[in-house]
Amino acid sequence: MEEIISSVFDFLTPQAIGVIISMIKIVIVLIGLILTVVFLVYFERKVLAYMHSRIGPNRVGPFGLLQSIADTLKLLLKEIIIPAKSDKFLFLLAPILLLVPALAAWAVVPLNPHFIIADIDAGLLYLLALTSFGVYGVILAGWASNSKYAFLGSMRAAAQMVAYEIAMGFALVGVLMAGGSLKLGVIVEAQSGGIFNWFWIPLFPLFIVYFISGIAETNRHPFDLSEGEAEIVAGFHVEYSGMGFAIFFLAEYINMALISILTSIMFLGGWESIFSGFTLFESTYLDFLTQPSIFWLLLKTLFFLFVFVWLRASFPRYRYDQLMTLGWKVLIPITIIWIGVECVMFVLEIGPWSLS
Amino acid sequence: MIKELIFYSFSSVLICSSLAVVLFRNPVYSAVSLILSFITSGFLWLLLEAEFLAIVLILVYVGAVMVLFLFVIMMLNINKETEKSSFNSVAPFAVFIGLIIVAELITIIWINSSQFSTSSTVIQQSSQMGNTLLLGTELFTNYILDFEIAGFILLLAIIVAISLTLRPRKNLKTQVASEQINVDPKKRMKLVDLKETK
Repeated sequence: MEEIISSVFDFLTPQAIGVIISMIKIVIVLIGLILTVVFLVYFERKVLAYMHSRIGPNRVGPFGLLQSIADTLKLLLKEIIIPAKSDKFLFLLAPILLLVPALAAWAVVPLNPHFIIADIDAGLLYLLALTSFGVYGVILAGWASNSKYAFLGSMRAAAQMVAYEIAMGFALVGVLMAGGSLKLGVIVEAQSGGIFNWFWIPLFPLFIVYFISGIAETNRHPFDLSEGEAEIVAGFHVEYSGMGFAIFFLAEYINMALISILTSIMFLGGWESIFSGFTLFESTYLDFLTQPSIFWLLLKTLFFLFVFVWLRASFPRYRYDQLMTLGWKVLIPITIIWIGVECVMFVLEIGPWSLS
Repeated sequence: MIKELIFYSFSSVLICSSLAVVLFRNPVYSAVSLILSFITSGFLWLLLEAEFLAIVLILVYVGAVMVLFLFVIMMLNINKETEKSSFNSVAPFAVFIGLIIVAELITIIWINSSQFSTSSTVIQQSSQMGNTLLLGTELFTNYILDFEIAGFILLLAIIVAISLTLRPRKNLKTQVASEQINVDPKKRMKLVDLKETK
């Protein structure tokens, strides 16, 4: 790709070409994400419907596939109402503060060994910093709305996100110990060589804890206390209409996709094939199944997105004290104990990794 | 050229947002500008190729400390008028503290600047093997004792803070999940055959 650009625009410096390539990558990821969100909403509604023995959206387009696009157009055309007693600046800033970190986090997510926007050394830390940044959008939205329901929702969200971030951070510590790097690409490389080398076996408790705290971080069911339709109407975004609401919605689904892809990268071997290491397919036309490819990554991501929807259909919402108990008294101790176990495994050289 | 331009634009944002922290009447706006100034100082560190420190600054201060700050400010709902009058009474003291900090900065930057030359070995190594790795190896080999002592002090602070705020309340009803699960329905409920009454 660099050669093509430098041959067509031969007057550009290498730096400028680097910038252009980054821009192209950003546009590809951005368009991919928006399309993912559009069809993720459809996917969620359809899966939920079948789990509830309903049909789900089936009117707009074939099988209702264009339903989300119709909804987006409706939200775009709706009037944006800013409450009279609200803090207008922060009211408008809050959705952006939620969306920007959700998008920026994708900069360090590798989609295959070569496609990554910014291959920085401290990739995991960057992700942790950005996912923790999203809470400001929620807090400020609740405060700026000047509404009791919205304020209660944002208070709940703040306490919840701070609590679950710690468990998430500890789970990531386990991953970086096993992978030996903060770069996500290196972490995937460390898991190469078959399904039994993936980190979900030696780090099984951390895998579960990471996914649970990921659900809590995205404020999804069964941890969606900050929205809590039955208790506080719609929580922090109750006063938002039209595009304001759409941006909150977009950020939530982008974060869902982010948590899913990160779980697959860190615990399920990323783009490694499920069949890699199998000799059964060797020298047959099915050999391509054992090769690493982006489709494996997307398949694993889709599985976790399905789990998000599945949990939403299956579980009732947690009570607030139960949520706090789970975060502080269950998940954090599990991660701390498992990091200790991992240290012992490291020293005894049990597990897929070895001391280097 | 571009690097200088980025540096000066970030620095001016940093100065403006730091001033805004003190000058805003509304404490929530002050907190938000403090967040902005943390992020911009993180960016300045990124320009110095100290990406680990920059991200940790944002992670710790923006991701954790300021969330609690904002939380408390919003919960307290501080009255703006009393805030203003108290500002005038502490202003001379604040100016005094500020002057001390300026004097300290001057001694470090102007008088001792020869000690902080960019040709030091640590900075040279940092560009070769990456910031995070270098910091880790330095902390866990040469400075392991200091690092552990700092860790123990922080642990002590956590325990003290918890024990100061933990007040066991009497007559507090709590839920014990294991007892709830192990309940025997036969002890709770008795099925009685009632004769038809007419």
